[in-house]
Amino acid sequence: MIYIDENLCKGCHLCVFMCYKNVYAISSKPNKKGVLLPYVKFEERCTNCGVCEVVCPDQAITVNVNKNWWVGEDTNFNPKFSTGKKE
Amino acid sequence: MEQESPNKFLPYMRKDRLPHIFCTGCGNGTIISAFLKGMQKAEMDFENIAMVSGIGCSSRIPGYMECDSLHTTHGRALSFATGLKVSNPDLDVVVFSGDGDAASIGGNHLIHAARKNIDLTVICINNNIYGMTGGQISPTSPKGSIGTTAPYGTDDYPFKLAELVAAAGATYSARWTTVQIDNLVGSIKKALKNPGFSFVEVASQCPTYFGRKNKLRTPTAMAVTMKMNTVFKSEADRMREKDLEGKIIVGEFADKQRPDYTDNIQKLSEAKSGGKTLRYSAYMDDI
Amino acid sequence: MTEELFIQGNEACAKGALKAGCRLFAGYPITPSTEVAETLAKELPKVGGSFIQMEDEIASAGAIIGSSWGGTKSMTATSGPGFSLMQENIGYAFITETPIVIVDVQRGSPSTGQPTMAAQGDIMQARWGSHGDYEPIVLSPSSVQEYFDFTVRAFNLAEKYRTPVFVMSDEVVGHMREKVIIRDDLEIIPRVKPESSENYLPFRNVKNGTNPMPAFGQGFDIHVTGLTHDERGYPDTDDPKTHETLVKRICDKILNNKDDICDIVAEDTENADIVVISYGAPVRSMITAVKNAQAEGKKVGYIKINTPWPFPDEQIYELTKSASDVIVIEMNLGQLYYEIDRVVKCHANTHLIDKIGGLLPTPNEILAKIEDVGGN
Repeated sequence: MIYIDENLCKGCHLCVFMCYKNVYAISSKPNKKGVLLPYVKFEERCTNCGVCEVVCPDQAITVNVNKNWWVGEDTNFNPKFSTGKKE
Repeated sequence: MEQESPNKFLPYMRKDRLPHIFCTGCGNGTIISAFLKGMQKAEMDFENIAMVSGIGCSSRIPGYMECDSLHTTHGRALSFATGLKVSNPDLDVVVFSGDGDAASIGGNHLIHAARKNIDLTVICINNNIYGMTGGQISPTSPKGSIGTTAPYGTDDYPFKLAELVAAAGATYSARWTTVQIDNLVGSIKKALKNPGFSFVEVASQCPTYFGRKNKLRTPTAMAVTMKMNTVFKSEADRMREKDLEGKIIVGEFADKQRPDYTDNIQKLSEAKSGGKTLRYSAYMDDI
Repeated sequence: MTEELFIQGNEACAKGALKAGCRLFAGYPITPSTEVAETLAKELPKVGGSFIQMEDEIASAGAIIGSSWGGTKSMTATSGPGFSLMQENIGYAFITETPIVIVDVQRGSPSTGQPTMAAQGDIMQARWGSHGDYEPIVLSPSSVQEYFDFTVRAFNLAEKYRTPVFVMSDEVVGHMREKVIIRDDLEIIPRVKPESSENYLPFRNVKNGTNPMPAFGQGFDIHVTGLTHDERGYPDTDDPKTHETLVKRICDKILNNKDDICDIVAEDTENADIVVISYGAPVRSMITAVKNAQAEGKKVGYIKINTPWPFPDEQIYELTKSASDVIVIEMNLGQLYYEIDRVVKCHANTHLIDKIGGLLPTPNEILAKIEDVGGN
């Protein structure tokens, strides 16, 4: 599942350009901020490569919402890698 | 009630300050994500990271990160970072800098930090222009490019930062662009792990100023041009200098080992005082 | 145990810094301040400190600010040309309220001037050198003992008020050798750490102006910026109110505590016709000259200003009330003179002995001026 945060997206369309599988398309109507939001048109093509997630300058895209790609299935995962070193 | 964004990078950011001030399609945001992903891959403790930056668009990045951050004077970020790192070598100090910041006003600090091989990670975002002041020519602007202070195109020869820093003695130096995500993330991971001065130059797009002046109005137009102009180092080594004009050579320019500055200070302290340098000594009342 | 030493001024400064808890020095060689760096390069590694020789003075000032946020008391030492280069980062230290100590061993200027001769030409640069409004604390020693004591006090004031403090000595005091007594009961003020990171605001608009200061890596996740910032430390450059509150607070925390900061010594000023005022090295000649004039039967007193900034205007006004003439001795063409003139001009005439060229004014020169002015 791909999630796009409408509040953060500024409509640069780099995701559309960067996606190797052409998953994204641009909506024809602007939203209330005047941004032509990208939307997921062909989700079945997505390979979870995560490039759009990193390339999005506004941290608006999340791919594979229920999974952290860098740790697999570990549910006790601590996203800040805190070692509890500090008092 | 709107759904809270499940984005993997937002937990590291000061959410009360978002969305950030960067223009639509600015490469800075991409580099934030790439840095965070590189940091995750390197399994760095985010709590232990301190960020330092100078002045410019790219130098606003630490202000959006949920960690200790020092937003300093123009070009001087590396000198502040040197003091911070020597004062507390346990911190992982990361410097975000732009091309004007690192190469122009802070050029001297850059080569000296590389010479000292102090354990800093520098992410230099090179967008070939001064964005925050309105599109003036920078020391890395390609020959012939147009800026508000070069309305007829600049005749100056641009700096090659990654090569410069490698020559000055850095133990890790690389250049990538914002459209080579995997390579960039890998380099950031390597730079964070490298004990010594690590420099990652990221060729980035500035659609608002560089793009508008140079007939590349949209972020995607800039990304396409950047992708087209990219030449890998191994390939560039076999090309003539004439053919390389205006190209972005990407790859690693230094990857070696050499004693690091803070380690040397610790060794000296151990020899002279019998222990490591003091941490947080300002708070001690029986010093 | 109390120690008695016979050392050079710059060495005394370095010893004072070590005593006060300074554990990082970043500097760049410049005559006549180099001995401070040389002494600390030798001594700091022995006490768990670090010495960095930076690429220039701009970087030196940057490094000590960075180090101060790393949780280490830090200082640098320089002379006029280097002090000029540092001004940019000094302004940064003021707006971010970073405790640092900068020692300026003044020499003949402008520009490269006279590297091996004394002057007091930087006293206004210390006040107005960086752009914008700020209130510096400046200490001006006149002997090697004072150079030691004032360096210790500079660190204490820096920590107490979270502000940069300047020690403005000169080539004479820096290179002179005298006896120094190092007491073991010196008061050292350590930095105060905020109690908890919850609801902590590093730049809160508190009444006395000074907030406790955390260091990087202690878990406070603070943002420090040279831009106008709100109480959280986040940039807020568009709101006029934020800027006014911030700048007024960082000025007021010094001005409202003048009673604690200002330090002047006055001798025989009651009923004096003439009051001689000086600071730094010329004080040495001034005291002899005043004693000689008193022996001649003149009603002369003197004021020695230990803290030129913040300017002790109320005290000087009170102490010169009986005088008809005030003589100011400075090793420049009149800098603090105008400040003193502003304060005393409603009841006394102000005269200036401006000695430049590198030599101290002699007691005879001062005595001649006292006789010339004459008094009532």
